[in-house]
Amino acid sequence: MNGRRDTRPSKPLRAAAMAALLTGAVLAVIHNALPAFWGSPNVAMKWDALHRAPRPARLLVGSSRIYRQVIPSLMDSVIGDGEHTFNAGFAATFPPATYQLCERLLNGPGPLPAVVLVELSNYMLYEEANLADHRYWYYLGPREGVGLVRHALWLPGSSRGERLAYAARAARATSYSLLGLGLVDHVMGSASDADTLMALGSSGDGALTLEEQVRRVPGDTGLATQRKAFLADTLAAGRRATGIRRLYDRGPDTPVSPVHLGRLNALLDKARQRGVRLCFVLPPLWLDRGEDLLALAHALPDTAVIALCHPDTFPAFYRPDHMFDAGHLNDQGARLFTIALARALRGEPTGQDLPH
Amino acid sequence: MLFNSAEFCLLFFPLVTGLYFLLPKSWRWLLLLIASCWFYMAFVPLFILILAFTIGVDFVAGIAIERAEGPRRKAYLIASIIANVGVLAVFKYWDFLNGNLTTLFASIGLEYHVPKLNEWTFFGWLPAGMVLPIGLSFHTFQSLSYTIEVYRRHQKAEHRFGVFALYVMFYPQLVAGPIERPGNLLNQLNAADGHGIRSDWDSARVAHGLRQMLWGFFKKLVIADRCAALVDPVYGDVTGHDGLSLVLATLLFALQIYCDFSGYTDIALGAARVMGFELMVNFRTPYRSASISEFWGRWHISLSSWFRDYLYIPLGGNRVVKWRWYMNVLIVFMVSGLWHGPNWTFVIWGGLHGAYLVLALVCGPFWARVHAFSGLGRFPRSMHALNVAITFLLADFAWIFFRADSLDDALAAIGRMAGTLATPLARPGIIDVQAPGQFAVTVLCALVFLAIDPRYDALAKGERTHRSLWSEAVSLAALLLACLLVGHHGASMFIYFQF
Repeated sequence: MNGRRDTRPSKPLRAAAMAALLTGAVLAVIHNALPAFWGSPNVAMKWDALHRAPRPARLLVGSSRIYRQVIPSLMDSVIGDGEHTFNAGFAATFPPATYQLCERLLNGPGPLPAVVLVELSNYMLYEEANLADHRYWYYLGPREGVGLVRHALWLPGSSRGERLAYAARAARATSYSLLGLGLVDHVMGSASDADTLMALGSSGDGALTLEEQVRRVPGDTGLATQRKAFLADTLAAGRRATGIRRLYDRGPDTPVSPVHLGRLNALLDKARQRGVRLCFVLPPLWLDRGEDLLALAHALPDTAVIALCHPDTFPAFYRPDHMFDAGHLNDQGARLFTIALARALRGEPTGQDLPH
Repeated sequence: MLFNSAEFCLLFFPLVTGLYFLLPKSWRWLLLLIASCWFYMAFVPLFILILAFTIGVDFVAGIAIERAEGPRRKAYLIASIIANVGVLAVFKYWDFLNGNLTTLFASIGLEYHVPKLNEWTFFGWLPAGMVLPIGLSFHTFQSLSYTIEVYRRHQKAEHRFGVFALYVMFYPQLVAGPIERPGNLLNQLNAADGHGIRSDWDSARVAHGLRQMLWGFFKKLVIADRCAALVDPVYGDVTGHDGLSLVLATLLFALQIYCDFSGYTDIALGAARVMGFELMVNFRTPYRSASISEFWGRWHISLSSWFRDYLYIPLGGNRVVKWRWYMNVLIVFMVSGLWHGPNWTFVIWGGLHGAYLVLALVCGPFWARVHAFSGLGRFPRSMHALNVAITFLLADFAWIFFRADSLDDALAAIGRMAGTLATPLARPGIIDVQAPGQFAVTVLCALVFLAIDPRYDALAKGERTHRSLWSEAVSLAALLLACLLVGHHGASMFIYFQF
């Protein structure tokens, strides 16, 4: 005999089950203890600012196309009701993150904004590269995960392989979030990413145009490169307008995602219950799956959609001198877009007298 | 395919293991062979041809050696060795030899130019600059051990090609060992009783395997990859970092390479154990060694025993005159260094270890006298602790050459570290290599690991058990949570894959 002790645990399955339960319990406690939007510290900062008095009468939620393109002070002066607006949009903040922000707000206590404007955007279907960035998945829970997988499996115009790949990525992203992969590093890294200027803008109202950022952060080479590439490609603006016109010309026969539409209708119902006017905004589109967005806008009640993207109605948004890069407006473009949005809120004509 | 990838954890391992137990026993070898091909081809598919060449040559050589008598046996063995070493020479050492020849010829005023291997793309089938097949040295040595054992009549030749191929390709240990011997793995593959691989489902054994895998994942994700995130930037720019950062990076590298390699080994051993295979133990808490010779009995055991059995002993081992003995030790360690990679830094790393051992042999009697005369033997624990510390520092000093990208970098690092001793302590730059707080978390993880390693290592190997069900559940949950929450999840390569 070699004198070794018995190597076999007496009840391995029971030990494994107990370990799994303990792990699950600890993860549940951690998830509950984490503050809202901890993985996007600038969104979290906006969320905190939103809860400070005085509460804004108008709230904007969305990605960079809201964050960079809507100037709250200008909107307030155009509407002229003495109330103020807060821009809670932020770069690379897409559905379902934006919808979660609205839901948290509408389900939360206290006074609510009278108007909430949410960018109508596609579900962020996870590119492989995005899985490496926790910003894209840190907030996902079981319900979101199931919704994303169902949405991915539905996607028309994609091959079965693509749909399965999207669904697999959505499932992986949800697993990453639930299992808290790399949570310690993400929490520490996120804390160091927080930046008051980026989160709240120079006026504290949450907006920061791209040109303003270039002025205030001159060392930001990424934006300079983006701008340079746009200036070098003189046909970019025209291409985008043509592409979007083509999307409109295809007509509204693109199928609508039942998952996405259900989510938006649920948000509208909730807003109605809480006495909030909730509208979905279509800014100048990305071309990628833009037809899905147009179909979605068509399926929603007319009063719930503000579409400011048709190149024939809003040619000003496709002029190179109003654009910062191929996907965003510059200061001048943002001013025009804000005016159009404010007029739409007041029920006035939107695009007619904007400079062409 | 990397063990620490989602592909392995969520698809490959559960699928292969599930099918393994569902299939009739006589089909399992085929499943494992196909799975091993899939595993290997996940890196660069074309490289399987090199593996097939090695397998084919050694399969034929084994049978030929068994059937032949007299000098022909040796001829077949030599042919097998030439073929295997030839593969290594071409795919691993070509550029190294070429580079050195170019330097040599240039020093005597001659021009020598043969294209580098990494400039070949094999008619566009391979990306340029990517010609070293993963784990080449491991499976070549494993295959070689078979023909040598057949030649020594310690092992019968394998007559089933598929089973022999599986012996060389068995996926858990294919790319980074342990370098198995036919007496262990091939015999397990052949323990057929006429019914193929015979292991049945045994929940205790499966749980033991999974626990060992979890311990391996902990070492890789929580310790090795965290350390790597600090070490790599420092060693990637030696001249841009202060001496204290280099000292800390070198200490962390000792932990990184141990956890990276032994973590891989634990995952390999655990995955094999789940299916009923017992692979060689490759590590036994090496940094607790009290001498360099003990260190090599605890570090990469399958390689050091390979060199002992197939190089050191054939050279005469210690049964020769003293200077030859010392020379044998130096040769074995320098070859062992070269085995790791085609770079003089590895040769020096091996040579340093050889020199440590020779020095210990030469000075051994003197130290024994000092020991007896001074009465230090009255403090055995303190002396042991001192020896462990000295051994660790010697091993860690050698790691500088192992980790540095070039000899110049290694020497620059040593110079800067030495300079640190003469200058007042300042905040080392390594603290700021990552986001605030991450250095502290890594150091904390490292300290926790050092404290729990002996106990958990014994638990993983099955050499001790938990006191209660609760303690087992809590320790499993703690390891799992640490892997999930504190681990680095970028699916980074294992260091030893490159060898």
